[in-house]
Amino acid sequence: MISCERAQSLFGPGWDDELSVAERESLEQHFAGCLPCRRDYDELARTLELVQGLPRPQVSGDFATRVLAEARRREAEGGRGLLITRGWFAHPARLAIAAALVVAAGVSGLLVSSRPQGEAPRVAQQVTAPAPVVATQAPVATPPSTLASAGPVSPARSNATPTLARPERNRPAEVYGAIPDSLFDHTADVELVLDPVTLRKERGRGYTPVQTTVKGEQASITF
Amino acid sequence: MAPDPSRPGEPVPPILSLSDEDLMARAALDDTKAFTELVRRYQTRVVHLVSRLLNDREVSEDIAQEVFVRVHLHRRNYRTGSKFSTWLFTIAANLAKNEMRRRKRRRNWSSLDEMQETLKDASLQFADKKSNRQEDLEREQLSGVVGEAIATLPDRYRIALVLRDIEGLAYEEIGLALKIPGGTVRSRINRARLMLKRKLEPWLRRDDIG
Repeated sequence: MISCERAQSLFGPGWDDELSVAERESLEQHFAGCLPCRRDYDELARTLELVQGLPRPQVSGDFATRVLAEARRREAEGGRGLLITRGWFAHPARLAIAAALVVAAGVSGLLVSSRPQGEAPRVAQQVTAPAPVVATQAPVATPPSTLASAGPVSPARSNATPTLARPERNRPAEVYGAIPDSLFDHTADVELVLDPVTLRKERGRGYTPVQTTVKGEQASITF
Repeated sequence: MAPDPSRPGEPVPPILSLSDEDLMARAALDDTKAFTELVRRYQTRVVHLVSRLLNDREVSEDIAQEVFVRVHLHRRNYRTGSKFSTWLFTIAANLAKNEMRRRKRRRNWSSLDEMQETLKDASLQFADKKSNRQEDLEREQLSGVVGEAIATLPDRYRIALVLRDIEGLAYEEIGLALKIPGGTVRSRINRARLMLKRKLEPWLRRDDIG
């Protein structure tokens, strides 16, 4: 016969009708010899019957009409109210900070795009611009040695959203057009600020160092 | 028969015969009738869910309204292939959770102690008056007691229990709605059931209930 502990662990699946034939038989066999467990299960079953028997509320007859009217009103306002009621952006001060960051990013972007054609990008000064989202990425994306030899901005890229110091080499426009956006696409970075995502409190994922198999002077890299 | 906007060239089937997902596909194309039918199908369940989570019938209809408004505003974001009810209950559970947090912050929510006290009083009242036991306990009164017992459960257990034992969602759907693993769903529901049983024991041990 199964233990009381084992029997109790089968109560939930028993109620949900998820027990195998063997489990059900062993539970019934246990109940036959253990009245406290039998009573416990009966009480659980009666509890859940009461819960499931709770009366359903009556909903107003015009509920659907009201929903539609409210949805249309909100839609006419451009979904206003929806954004500010969500998570991180619900706080007016945070919303203001986010807006300020977006404006700062835009202004610094304009400054970069207004640079005369043919002039090499001056990253050293630009990285201190008041646009943290864009500026902090620049040194990572562009090693200084590359920047020093950077040529004129390609016409194909000059119409895109301004970004800081992407390494530009003397390549024809069509070559750039064929290159997909890299991980350092600053346009995407700005979108992260604009996108009304819900920020949640969550445990951070720790840094996991890349495992390499290096022995002596040999290294194997697999793609 | 007019063409189906979600399936060009095909005749429109009667709206009542459409699945929730088909209705949602049409609602995404601004078919008002399809959206209204979805509201009609789920309005009672959503109001019930919210009212059980908050133990507050008065505001539950307002929150349920907000749930459907969100569905309408985000109708084009609905992922075809996913189950509509899971998406709907995810929105409902999130809005109810927000409301629970808001109430806790503003301290308008009846404290758990207060509720437990009410529950205890009611329990004593029935347990002690065996001689005055009524053959037919008023269902409304019993519902109130059960509702309050549910309301005293910790939020995370209450939500899981209500989704499972009141709304009848599958464990998998609850996991998707609450964004928690299947094992966690099961353990929360199990614990919630046992806690609730303990709270209702004074009634359960009476002969005439059940």
